[in-house]
Amino acid sequence: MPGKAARLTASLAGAWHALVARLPVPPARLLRQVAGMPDYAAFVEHLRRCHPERTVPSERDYFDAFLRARYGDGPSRCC
Amino acid sequence: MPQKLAWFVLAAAGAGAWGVLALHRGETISAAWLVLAAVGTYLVAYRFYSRFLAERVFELNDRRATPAERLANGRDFVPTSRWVLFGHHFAAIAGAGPLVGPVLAAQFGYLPGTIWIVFGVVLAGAVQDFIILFGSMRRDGKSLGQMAKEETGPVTGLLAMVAVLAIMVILLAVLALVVVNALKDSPWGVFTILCTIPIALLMGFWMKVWRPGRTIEASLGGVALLMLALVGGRHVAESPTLAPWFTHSGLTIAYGMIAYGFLASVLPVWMLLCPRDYLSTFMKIGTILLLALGILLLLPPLKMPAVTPFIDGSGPVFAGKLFPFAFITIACGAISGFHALVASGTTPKMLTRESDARLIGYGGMLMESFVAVMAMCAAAVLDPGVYFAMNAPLATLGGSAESAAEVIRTWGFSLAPGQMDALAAAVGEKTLLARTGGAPSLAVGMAQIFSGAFGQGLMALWYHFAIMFEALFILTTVDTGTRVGRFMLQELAGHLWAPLGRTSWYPSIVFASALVVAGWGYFLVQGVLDPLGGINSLWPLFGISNQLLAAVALCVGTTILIKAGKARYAWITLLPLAWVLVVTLTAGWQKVFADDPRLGFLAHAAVTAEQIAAGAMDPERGARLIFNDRLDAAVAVVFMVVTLLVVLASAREWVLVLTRRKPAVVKESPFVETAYAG
Repeated sequence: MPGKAARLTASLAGAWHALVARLPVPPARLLRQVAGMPDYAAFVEHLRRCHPERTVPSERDYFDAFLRARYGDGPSRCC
Repeated sequence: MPQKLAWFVLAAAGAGAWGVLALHRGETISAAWLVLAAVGTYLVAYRFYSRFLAERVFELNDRRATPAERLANGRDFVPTSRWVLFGHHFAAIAGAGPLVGPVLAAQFGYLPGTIWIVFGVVLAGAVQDFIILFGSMRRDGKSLGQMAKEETGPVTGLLAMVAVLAIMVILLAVLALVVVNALKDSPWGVFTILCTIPIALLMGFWMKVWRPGRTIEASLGGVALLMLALVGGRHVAESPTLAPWFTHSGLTIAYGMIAYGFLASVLPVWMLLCPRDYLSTFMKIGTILLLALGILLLLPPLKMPAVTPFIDGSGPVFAGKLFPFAFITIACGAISGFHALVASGTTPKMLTRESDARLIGYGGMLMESFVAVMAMCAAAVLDPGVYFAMNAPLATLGGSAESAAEVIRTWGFSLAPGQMDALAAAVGEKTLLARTGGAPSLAVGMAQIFSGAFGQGLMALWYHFAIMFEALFILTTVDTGTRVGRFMLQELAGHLWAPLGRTSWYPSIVFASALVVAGWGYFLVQGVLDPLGGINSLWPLFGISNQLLAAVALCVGTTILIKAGKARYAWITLLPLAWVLVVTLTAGWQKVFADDPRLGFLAHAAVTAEQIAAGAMDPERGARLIFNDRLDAAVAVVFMVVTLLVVLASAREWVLVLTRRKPAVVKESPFVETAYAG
């Protein structure tokens, strides 16, 4: 019965959208923040809002600076 | 009113589950009772005790801007949604510690360990994480060492730093040993783990060179490749031409890991370290969720007795009585000094509101404790005979399945003929005898739970999945730990000769990395060569060092409370501090001075000397064993002395403040009103 499969897909998609809508942040940003990954879009947003006078670095430069800050000093995880 | 009723019902359910655990000793019961008792206790403690800490003791104030808000830079100071930060903080504190410790402590039965895991976390571990997170949040995200220096003086700060470095060396050695014991003579495991290195390199080049910053793409691809490597491992293990290439002795694997640790510390982070970090974070969160789901779906029966006769100190897995060694063996699940480094690292820079610290500091540690309870369940679902055959040293068991069955029968447990061989064949290994270190037992337990819950017949795949997951994040700890140790050593060495302190000067990088690797590598090789399996002597040393670091953190916490004029609440850190000190100093003393050669390092050295004199031991080998015993004893003494010095320096500070000879002023950052809408 193709109708049943289509309905199931539609309801799964609906459930997924409802879940995403309830997340505190969009799924990609959520993954980034949980794993401690760099978030270029958020950084650009921050620069535009708080430091409009500064030039926006390229994604490559941002990534390099991020790694230096993240792994530059001190332990960040446990045994 | 209905809310109060709900809390009453919850408390009653938790208490009832503890009652079931208490009354059904000697019978097989479901893991459900363990889970229910733990979760009930956590929820009640979170609702009442952590609220008391947050509102009365710390007076968390949502009108006060957090460092993430005041210093926002879009990089490390980023206001983050509380549940997302909860996940991030949890991924940073959870590691091999809470998984391995409970598995080893299962030699006392499941009950003593579980009681310590649950009540230890509620009254000690979660309090430590919470107060350090709170202190660091009020000080712009300063580290534990910096806080110790500012609140108690430069000498304490330096001592704390030396303690952290020494602990790191022992930690890395013992975790590396866990991996060695899981991978020796296992071509499947070695192949899968070796594959993680090219996978990480590929991810690194993807994120850095080919598609800069696309970390999610790279990680998803990396996880997919990892699964391929896992499946491919089976074909390697079954191929008569390929298998010998990946079958290695413990010693070869140990030297391989030492070389890997050095490379990871010297190479740029983007190449190896950062991609592995992402890979292991996703694997960790995914697997722990899967394990929770498996236990809840299956609710397996616990076959281990609640309490075994080994509480008298005669246990084969590690020596020593229930007190103090159950509390040393289970370090991370109940209280872990290492968390103080994380709670004063990245997390305080990401809190959006002060009140979020309660969920993340206290709640995050409760979650870690729950992981430890699940590890205990996974060890207790094994037949006790199988558990002891896997965890007792080879020297005790004799070389064959028959001799092992005989030895285990004398301990009062049974092992059916052929049971160990059948199990080894089912998980795709040649033998599972004497695989000390906890990782293989946990993997067999997890494989039983997973294959029971998600489909029979995949035992071998699940076993190697579990081994891969443990080895993956232990290796991540090894490379990040070596690197962190390198930075600390460079900072210390910079006091002696300034150029050595320049963290980006290549000769200094190579020198400091080699020194750190040589440090933990020495203890690792010593552990591999140890006739008793190494875990026996190294794991207690690790437990002692981790708990002593907790003592340092609790001292800093107490100082913060007293200087903030909250001396009447200082018991919240002083009571756990007293307990941790009693436990660790007793354990440390026994490890050094006990008369039993299985327990005391010095007694073991004396026995070895007698054996040499009697001609029963090769003098060269004996001399090495004696040296190692004395070294282990010296390390334990150094840990104890450094910690006592920190405690004394802190106590002096408390007395000065309480007798008003020193002003009660904390070095908090000044209050700034938040700009967020209330």
